[in-house]
Order: sequence, then structure tokens, then C-alpha cells
Amino acid sequence: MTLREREKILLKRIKSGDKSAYVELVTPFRERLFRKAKSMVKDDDDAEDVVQDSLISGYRSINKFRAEAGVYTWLYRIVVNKSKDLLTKKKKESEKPIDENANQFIDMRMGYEKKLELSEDSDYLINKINQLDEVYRQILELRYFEEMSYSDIAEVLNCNVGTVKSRLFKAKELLKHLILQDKKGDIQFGT
Amino acid sequence: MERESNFSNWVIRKLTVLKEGEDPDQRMIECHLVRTMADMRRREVSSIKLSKDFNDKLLLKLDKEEMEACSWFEIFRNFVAARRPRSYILGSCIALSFAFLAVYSVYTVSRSRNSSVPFTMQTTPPKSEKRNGIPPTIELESQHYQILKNLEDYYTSSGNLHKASLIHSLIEVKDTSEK
Repeated sequence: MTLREREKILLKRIKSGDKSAYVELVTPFRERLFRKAKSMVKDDDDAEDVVQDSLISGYRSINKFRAEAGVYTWLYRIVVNKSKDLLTKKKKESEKPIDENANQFIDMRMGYEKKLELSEDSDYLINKINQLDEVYRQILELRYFEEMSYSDIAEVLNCNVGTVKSRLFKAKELLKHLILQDKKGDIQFGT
Repeated sequence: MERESNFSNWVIRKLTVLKEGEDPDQRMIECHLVRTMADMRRREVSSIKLSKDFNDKLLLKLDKEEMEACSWFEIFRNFVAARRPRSYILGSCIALSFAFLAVYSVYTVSRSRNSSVPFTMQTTPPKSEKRNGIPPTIELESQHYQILKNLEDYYTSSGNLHKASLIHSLIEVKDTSEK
């Protein structure tokens, strides 16, 4: 049984009132969603609250769920929006400027990088990714970190598949130029 | 000029890529991206964990929640978005068009019939034909005619002229219908 087929069966059960089926549906994605939320809101407890709220919102609006998008893509969008809402709320409360890129994974996930002890190559490439514009960092995250399909990325970014492909191509081109400008890039990548 | 040169550079680059089939630099970047991201993901998975009672908390919250009803627009959008076969959508459109045409033709036919009804076929008879509540036409047999004539004479002789005139009018109807 494919993932989509499994999702369809669970969706039928949910719509007939089976709440445990909803938990079953979201369980495979909760860790990934939590990590995404944490990369944005930084705090463990806040991230967990964001995911809980997102899943509850998802349950309430399950009838609005569009069949062409995967469940993960749909929940991912909710989590990103909820995280942004929380950051905005915190910003208003503290009246301190929040890093504009806080909602971008690379910047925050870069924070983990030192703790995670990534390889030298990975460390180097992440530094180069961080020099790209937000739109290109985002598309690289969705494609290579989240491993989303072009159509799922288009759904998340609310654009068409052609735009996704061209943006991804340009992101890699820019990354290549950044690496080529760098002597270390020659050594690291042999270009 | 600058735009032109940018465009020509882009075309040349594209043509080169097409000629070679694939840009080796792009492929190399992609390989490094996949490896780096997989590395990050693997390490993230091992270091960032959800609390163990996450599902219990979720179920508790879900117990108080209800699903929102879906609007007609959303039902339609979901139907279209469900990637139905094109033939299915096309068939539905044709069926709807036929239904519309059928209703429209029935409507126009009924309207044209109403407008072609002769003016004389009115549902309300003229006031003169009502004759004070007496039916406009009565099939009178000759024996009935005689009875009515006798009755008219009786009412005339007894001084009940109103009833006599009513009966007379019935006899007149008979006379005119015979003519």
C-alpha cells in the first residue's frame, strides 16, 4: 500500500468521526514538523505547542484538505504559518526586533550545525547556502532537506511547478558561482 | 544592449547544456546538496526529540474538537482537485449543457404556446353570459322546454316576475343555440 492510499483510507475513517485515525495519520510526520517548528521558534516547548496547535487546526479543517497535496505538505504549511504567528506575537510582546530570517531553516539549522558536528564539506556548503537570497535558501530546503516533489513545493510556495524548477536551477547556479569564486571550493569540489 | 547580451548568454548556456545533455557542475552541486542535507537531517533526528506524551496530549485536545463543515465551494474545489479523469469532467459539462438546453427549450415552447392562445379562449366568461348565476348553456330537451315554459307561465300568473324572467332567459338560451 502506498503512502497516498494509506492516507485516503485514514481520511475516510477521520471523516466518519474516528479521532484516533487522525493521530495515526499525523504520527509519521510529527517529528519532522516539530523539527521545522523548532528551527523557526527556537524553543522546544514553543515548538511542541506550535505542532499541537497546528495538528488541532488541521483536524478542524480536515474537510478543506485538498486531495492533490500530501498530508505532510498540508501540515507543513500550517506549522510554518503558526510559527510565524508565534514569532510575530513574541515580537509584539517583547518589542525587540526579531531576525527576519528566523523563519528560514538554514539560518536556524546552522545553529545546530556546530552541535551536530557536521562534516567539513557540509559545513562549507551550508555557509555558502547562507549567502544566497531567502527565496533560494527556501527552495533548497524544501527540495533537498524536506525532500518534497516539485508539485508539493509549488503547493507550499503557492506558485506553479515551472517557477519551482527555474528557481531551483538558479539557486544551484548561484551556489556554483559562489563556490567557484572560492579557492576552497576548488579544493572541496574539484571544480 | 545589456539585456540582449544577458539573453544571448542565457541562450548559449542553455544550448551548451542541451548539447552536453546535462550540466556537470549542476549535477555535482546537487550531489553535495543531497549529501549535506541528509547529513543534517540524520543528525537532527538523533538530537531533537518530541516529548513521549505528545500523542496523549493530542488525543486529549482532539476530544474537545469538532470538524468544521465544508462549504459548497470547497466541495466543488476538492472534486476538481481530486484529479478526476478529464473525460469525467468533460462528460459532466456536456450533461449539464444538455440539461440546460432541455430546460430552456421547454420554457420557450411553453411561452410561445401561451402567447398563441386565441383571445376568445378566456377562462372567465363575459359578464353577459353569466346571466345572474345561470349557466350560459343548458342542453334542453323538448320536454324540459315545455316544463320550463309552463313554469314561466305559472310564475307570471302568480306574480313572481323575477323567477319568471330567470326561466325565460333559460328558454332564450335554448332558442339562440337552436338558431
